[in-house]
Amino acid sequence: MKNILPELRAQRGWTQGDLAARLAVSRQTINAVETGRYEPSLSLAFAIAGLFARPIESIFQGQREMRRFPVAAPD
Amino acid sequence: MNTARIVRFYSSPVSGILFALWAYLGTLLAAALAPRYLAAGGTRDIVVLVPTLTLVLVVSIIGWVYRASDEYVRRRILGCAALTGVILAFSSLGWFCLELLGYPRLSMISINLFGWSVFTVLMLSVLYRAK
Repeated sequence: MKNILPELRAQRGWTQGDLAARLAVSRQTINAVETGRYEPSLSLAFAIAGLFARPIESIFQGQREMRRFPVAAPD
Repeated sequence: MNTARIVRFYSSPVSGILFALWAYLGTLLAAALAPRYLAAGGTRDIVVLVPTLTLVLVVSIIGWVYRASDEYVRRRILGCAALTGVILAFSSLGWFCLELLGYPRLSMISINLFGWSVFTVLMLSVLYRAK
């Protein structure tokens, strides 16, 4: 999942540490989210959206990665 | 929460884990030596049983660190536990094969010590990078 977090952060002149402190998470978490190694939970995504005063879908874009398991039962 | 507070948060668990691990290893050493140097009785029984308490301390501190960590660090800690399990499975199987070839038999406590050492190193590396 792609995101524009580095751009939003750069606009405000914040470092990853600054953003991490504002969201009360570790800098490692911000780095993992920005590089796409980690998809944030819904609560963290809402916190990020709230901090930048933007809708979640304008910050995070992309298709959900399809997994083989668990297989959803047909209706 | 500012950056300095986050750094402080991740520094104290590292100290806590190291302290608890040293306490565990110290009491374990005392328990291993107790049958040789202490006469049978209440004192020896207590010294032999104390490592279970210090292990509870180690597990409690790791549990506290896990609950107090953010979501990504929690996921990394679970990854450490899974990786430790894999390393233990392969190393114990490997040593079993070596025993069949004539290598000396190891005590069960060696697996315990090896597993805790691997998990602690992996977890501390996660916490150190989370600063």
